[in-house]
Amino acid sequence: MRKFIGRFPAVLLLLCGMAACSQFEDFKEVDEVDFQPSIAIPILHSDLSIQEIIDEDDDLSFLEVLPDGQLLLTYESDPTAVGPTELLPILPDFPVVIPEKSTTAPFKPFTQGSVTLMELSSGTLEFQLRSSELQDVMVTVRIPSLKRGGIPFEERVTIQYTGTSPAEANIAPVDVAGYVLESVNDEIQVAYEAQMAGQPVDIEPIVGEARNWTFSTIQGDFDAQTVSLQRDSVRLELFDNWTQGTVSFEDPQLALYIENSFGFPAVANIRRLQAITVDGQVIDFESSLPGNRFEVGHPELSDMGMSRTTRYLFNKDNSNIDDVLNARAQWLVYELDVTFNPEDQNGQTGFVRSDSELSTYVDVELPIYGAASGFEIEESAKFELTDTEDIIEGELKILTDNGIPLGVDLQFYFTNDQDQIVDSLFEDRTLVLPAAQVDLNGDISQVGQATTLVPVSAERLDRMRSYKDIITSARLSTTDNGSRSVRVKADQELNIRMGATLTVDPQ
Amino acid sequence: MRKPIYILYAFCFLLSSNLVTAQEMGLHFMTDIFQANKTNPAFMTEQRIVYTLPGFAFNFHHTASSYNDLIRTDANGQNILDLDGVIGKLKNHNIVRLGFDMELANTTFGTKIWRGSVTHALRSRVFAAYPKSLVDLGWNGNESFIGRSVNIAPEFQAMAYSELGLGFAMKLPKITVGGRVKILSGIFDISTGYAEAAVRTDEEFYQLHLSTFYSINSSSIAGSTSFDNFEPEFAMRVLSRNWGLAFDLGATMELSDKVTVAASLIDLGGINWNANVTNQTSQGAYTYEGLNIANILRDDELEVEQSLDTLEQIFDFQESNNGYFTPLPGKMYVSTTYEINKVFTAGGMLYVEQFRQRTLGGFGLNMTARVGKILTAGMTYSVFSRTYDNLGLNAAVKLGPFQMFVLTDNIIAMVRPFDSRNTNLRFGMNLAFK
Repeated sequence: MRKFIGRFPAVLLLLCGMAACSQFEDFKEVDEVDFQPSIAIPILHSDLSIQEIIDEDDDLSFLEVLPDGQLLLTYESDPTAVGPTELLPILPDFPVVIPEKSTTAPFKPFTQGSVTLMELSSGTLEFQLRSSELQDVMVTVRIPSLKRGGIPFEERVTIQYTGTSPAEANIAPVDVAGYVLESVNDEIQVAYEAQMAGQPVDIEPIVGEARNWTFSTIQGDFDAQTVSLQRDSVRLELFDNWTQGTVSFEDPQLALYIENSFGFPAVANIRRLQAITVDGQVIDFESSLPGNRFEVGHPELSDMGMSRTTRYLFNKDNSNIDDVLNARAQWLVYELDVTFNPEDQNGQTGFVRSDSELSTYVDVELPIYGAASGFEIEESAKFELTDTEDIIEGELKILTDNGIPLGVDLQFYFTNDQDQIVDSLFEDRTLVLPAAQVDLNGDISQVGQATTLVPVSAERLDRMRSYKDIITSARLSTTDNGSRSVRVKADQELNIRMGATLTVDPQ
Repeated sequence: MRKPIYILYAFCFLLSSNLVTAQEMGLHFMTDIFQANKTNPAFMTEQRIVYTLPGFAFNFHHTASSYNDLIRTDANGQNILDLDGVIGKLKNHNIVRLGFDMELANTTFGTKIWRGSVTHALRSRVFAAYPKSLVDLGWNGNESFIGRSVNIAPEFQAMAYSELGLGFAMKLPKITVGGRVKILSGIFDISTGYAEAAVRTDEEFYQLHLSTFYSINSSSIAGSTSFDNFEPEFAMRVLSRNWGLAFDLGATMELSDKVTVAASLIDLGGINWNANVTNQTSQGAYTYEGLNIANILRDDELEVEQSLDTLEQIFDFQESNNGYFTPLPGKMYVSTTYEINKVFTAGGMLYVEQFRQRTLGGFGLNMTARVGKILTAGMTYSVFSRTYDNLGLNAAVKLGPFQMFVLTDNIIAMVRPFDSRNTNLRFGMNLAFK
């Protein structure tokens, strides 16, 4: 007994140790973690003015800002142009005959008028000479009307007598690039000198030929000439994806621009100006422009090399442009003729340069001051929920402060593999972005605010994973559902914040 | 997640099979052995000269849950880690404590009137306090905290020090008073200083606001807190640059022949850490509002990297090297004993411990039986920090001058270690001479 008592603490200690060790067998290893946290996270935020958006987004080049901050929608057609070849034909090769020692030769390369001065950029001049003399004859061919650096064209050649009469000689093709040819009354001065043993003699008429002449500048008096420009059109993307609703602009404008570097008076004649609406209707564009013609400016002789721009503006005061646009015009098509020297005034010198051009384009300018009501656009895109396997359910929260007098209500539709709409994100269309309130001038008086909650249950999220496409349907209305005109300006701001609560299963 | 828990619990209970206690309720009533003097320096043994042989003490306590509280077994026998039930039971702040003492040498000597003592021990303490919101946030997510600021900063301290004590007790008529001065020499410490880190999820669109004022101090006499270049001989130094002082004060009063009351304050003091100090401090505030569409538009790139940079700056700890002070976990014992007869003595005790502004407490009931002159055995029941299943056993054997004892305040932890939040064990041997 005493021995046992003496060992009692050691036995107790041993029992404690054994008991503890034996219990490690009962350790429960974790097979699974029941972990489904609900997290709330901010997703995005932005505070942008329209000016910032325009500055940074290259795709918005159709938006411009007027000096007073007003926003301007512009749609511009590609320019269509005519050059010198449409006005004057290519210079033909022509003969140059010198029948006497000093005389004039005819020079009328174009039927459209008289050339008074021609700066040559390329081409050649060659001659054939004959002599009936029984000795060598030295000949100098001179064209006083053709000068380079103020020095007339001059070439020398010896007609060598070889025992056969008449003796012949040629002046090989001479490059005339850089020469300036001056013509008076469609004639040029030509001459030759011939000497035999130091004494002047006559030879047979010299026959020459100008080949492949091109010009850098032509001055002259040309007849009236009409050139047709290619048909052109401009697309108003505003109505892309439109499905319904109305939009009206207070002050729409269509500007027709003509840039002209031909040195002639000209008149533009609008042969056709029509609008094609989104539903395929063709509407004639009517204006108070007499005869649909207007004068086109041109550079004077002293402005050679420059161009003059003529802008003809159609607005609601001189045309039916507001009716045309409000009919949802999607295309504007126009055709134009330009008549040069329309008055056919003799003695008036004009010019053509090898780089002269008359180009034209139209520019539809829509200052965003107007109203829209239920202006609905739709766009479809592939729908795929990627990297969302861990999400069980959630709710999106969207907050907006809209300083723009344009509101947007949204609906998102989902389609199945058969392209049938089977679901929508909201039960009813939801005003996500209410328009700002405006004063009597159409300027902002109060920011529009909204909070939108988009709950997505687990069942719905599962269904959404099978959807194929998402159709975004946005309906835009200006303040008070488009009952009054508003101004959209560059300094107006839009603030959007979005967050989400998500229940996730990280396993 | 599973492995660290396993290792932690395995470590604790493995040690508990060999070592000794810390809130020391059982020890307090083992007045036959010198080690009871650790809980009240006024306790005097019957023997006037005692040499202690090396002994060990260990304790572990978690205020929140046992390991098995975290596990749910479903109908298929699958063990599922599920904190839902535990989170509801968490207090605002929850504490994990771990202590390990190595009693190297103690001696006491004197007369029936007075006693002097010299003690030396190596002690280590691990303390961690974590807010309920940290667990709740990590497990349930932040949705339930929308609109509220949540403190997620954990506090912790892990330290080791050597303790040289000089004690004295004097028996006066009816009253015995005692005290001990302890010279402390810190071996290493790593602990939080400022511990503020708050997360707020805004109601608007769930913007996350994060702010920190958080510092971690560390010191080691080995020149580094890394174990790679730790030199063990430093641990034996009596006094290092990490010096400190602590006091134990105690008194007992005999109210009658049978009734005695006792009260003590233990470990009043702390350590100044000056050797190889590093302070890492993080202070900043950051708000995350999701992707800024405007920036994407301006820079044509996502700002995730930018956000990460900012976060990195917030958590970028700035280093300094300023000495600091950490208190010891102070304890208070108030007890009474009633000698029923020559064999049985009943006792009751209140225990309070304060450490780093956190207070733990409990009370215990004890019954001690003295079986002849050889064996003293006791049983305690204690309630400690909301644990009600602490049934302790203790025993001491005297064979001539040789004494051996073992005690635990929670024998149930030996049987069901994974169901227990609280355990301790102490073992020691003495040579005692009258």
